[in-house]
Amino acid sequence: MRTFGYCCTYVPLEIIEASGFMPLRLLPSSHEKEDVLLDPNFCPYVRALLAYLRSSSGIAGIVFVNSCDGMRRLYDALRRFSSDLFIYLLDVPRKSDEEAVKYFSNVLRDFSGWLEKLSEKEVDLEELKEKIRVYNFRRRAFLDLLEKGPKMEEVLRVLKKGFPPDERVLPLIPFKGKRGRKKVLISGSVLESEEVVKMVEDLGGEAVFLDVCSGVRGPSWVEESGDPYFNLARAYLKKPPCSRSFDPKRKAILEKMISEVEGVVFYTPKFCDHYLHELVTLRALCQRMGKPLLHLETDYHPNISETMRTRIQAFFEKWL
Amino acid sequence: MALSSFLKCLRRPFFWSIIRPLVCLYVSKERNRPFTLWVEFLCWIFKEAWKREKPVIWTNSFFPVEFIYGLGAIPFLPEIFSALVAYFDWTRGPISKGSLKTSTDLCSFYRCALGLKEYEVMPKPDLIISCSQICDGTKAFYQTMSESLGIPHLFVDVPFQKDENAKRYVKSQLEEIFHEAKNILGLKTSLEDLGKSFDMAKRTESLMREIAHLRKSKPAPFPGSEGMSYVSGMSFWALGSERGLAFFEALKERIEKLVKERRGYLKEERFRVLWLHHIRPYYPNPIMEFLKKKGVAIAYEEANYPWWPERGGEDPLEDLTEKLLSNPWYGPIEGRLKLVRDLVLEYQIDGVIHFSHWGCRQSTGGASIVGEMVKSMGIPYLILPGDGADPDNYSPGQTLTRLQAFIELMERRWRFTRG
Repeated sequence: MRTFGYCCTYVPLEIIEASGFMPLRLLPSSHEKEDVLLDPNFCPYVRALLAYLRSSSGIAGIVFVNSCDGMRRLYDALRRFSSDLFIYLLDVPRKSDEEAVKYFSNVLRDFSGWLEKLSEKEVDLEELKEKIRVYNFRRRAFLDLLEKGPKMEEVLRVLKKGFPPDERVLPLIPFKGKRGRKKVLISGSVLESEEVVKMVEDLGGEAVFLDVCSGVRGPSWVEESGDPYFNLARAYLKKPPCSRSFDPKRKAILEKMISEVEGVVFYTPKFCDHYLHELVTLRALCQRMGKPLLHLETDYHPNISETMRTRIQAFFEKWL
Repeated sequence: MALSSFLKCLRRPFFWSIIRPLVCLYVSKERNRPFTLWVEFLCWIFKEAWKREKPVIWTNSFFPVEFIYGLGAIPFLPEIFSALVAYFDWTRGPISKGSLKTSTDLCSFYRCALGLKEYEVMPKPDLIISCSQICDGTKAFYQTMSESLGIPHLFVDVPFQKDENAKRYVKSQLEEIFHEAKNILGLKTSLEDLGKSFDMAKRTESLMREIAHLRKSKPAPFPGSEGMSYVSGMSFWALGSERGLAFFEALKERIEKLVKERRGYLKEERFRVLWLHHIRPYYPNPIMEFLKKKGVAIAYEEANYPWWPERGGEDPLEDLTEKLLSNPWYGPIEGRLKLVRDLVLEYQIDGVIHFSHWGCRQSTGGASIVGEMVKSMGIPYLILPGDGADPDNYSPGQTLTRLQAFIELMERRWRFTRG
């Protein structure tokens, strides 16, 4: 089965699978970044993606989301300078009300039509519904596992391949041994390195929530009866929102998570406007609720840097 | 102590009433009539906003401000207020206050506004209305402001696509925010009232189009450096108001006169340059003076291009939908590429400068792609990194060296094309 790349949790993978492709989450592990076509004053994840996509092949196509200026410009740059790639830009609304759901369901129909042309295979509605059922089963299995306290470092390793993970990998995830002394919320944008979670846990913390793009941010359920495009649109727009969304639910969720932990680690790649703006709100929330906050700005790197290691260490030393 | 007394003064409508005639009198001796009208407009808007007889609505530059005048409210634009503060070279304090809350990688205009909020020199809003154009910072900044001030925020999500599906989505949101804004503010505005402000905007836009046409003349009659300051300030802040109309009438009159007399703003115009990006550095800096001395005219700037189609006038919200969806800086880059190509040809441009403002992903992200296209037309192209609001994030030596090299490129091209 040919692979089809994606980067964002707002992409309904069910449609990609129903069109005969295998969804592949694009989280390049290389250190290389493109500095010529995109300014160095630009998200390192986007620049890493550009470098990876210009030098790799074997992907049938890619779907980007209109998620940020970085992704929009990446979409433009790839179309101009790597014209052999098949790229679709999924226009995900920032709102989640009924008008937005209607708009998004039409966008998903269009995406499905584009995929049909690429795969030369019609997306059968019954098959799409079946994929929704399969994904719902996986979601349930994964959320059940989360309740039982799995090792978050391993959860992240699995989720980096996509949400929800294949149910067959779930039994391989070990459970936490000794509980950490301090419950921690790890929030932010793309978290590319499990080492951050590992370090938090090694130092006596317990990562309770993985509120990052590569973490637990998918819908928990998609309605199975009725128009599948409408159901997918509704479920994906009403899933736990990221900071890009215009949804008061985001602040409420953050508030709830903070109330259940004792400290927050906020992880963002450099130049990530959505999350750097959210930092203002998060800082105010943590201050109000008396919870310590550590902000880590990174250069999208598969390995954790010594500076970051020291900062995490200092955060826990001061706190524990 | 002195600072806090000064800040207190800024918050008093009476201060703006007194200062208005004095400042206008002063600038009318120094500068031109449109500039005097800009200063008069600012004094008026600050007075009205602090007086609080009408509701104050904070909005972003690319949200159609005529909608806010149509509602019967006073618009306040923190982004432009930051630029004004930069003009007086006062951004260091607010930027450092704002940067403490977030990262120095964010746009300095927003960091400055975050700091200015702490100084309480911006009139508190009764409502915030913003749209998703043209950058990520816009929605994020106003959402943060809404949360920290506890003020309701109405938001128009403008899609990337520009098809019928997108039109329906945008129009339904405009209808909704029109009713919600009225409910929140207790206004009795009708769609007809909105139409009056839109009619004013329509008359102003036709002047803006005439001005854009007049500025194609050789030599360049009007400096782009001023186009990027008070002219774009008025188009973002005053469209749909009587003062906006008066300003553009005066500006057209001034430029028309210069064109008739074949007078350029430079003594000797050697090269014509197109300035890309909506901003320039607003704090005191030698860039514009350097270009002037070298005979380089900024013939036009993309900031002032009236991009939207003429209004039909029958359905105000339909017209607004068209305006939002036709924005060339939001959507696939092809829209901006076409605009730049057209401007290069129509304004007989010899070189293009893309100002790359630190912290701006929206425009800077497309700089290389635009550059490829411009260079393929045989036109020299310069990416000029800098910062629009933060004077400490600007390197004068490097900037002038780059500009000098760029001018040499244009000279070489000139010698080559003329044998």
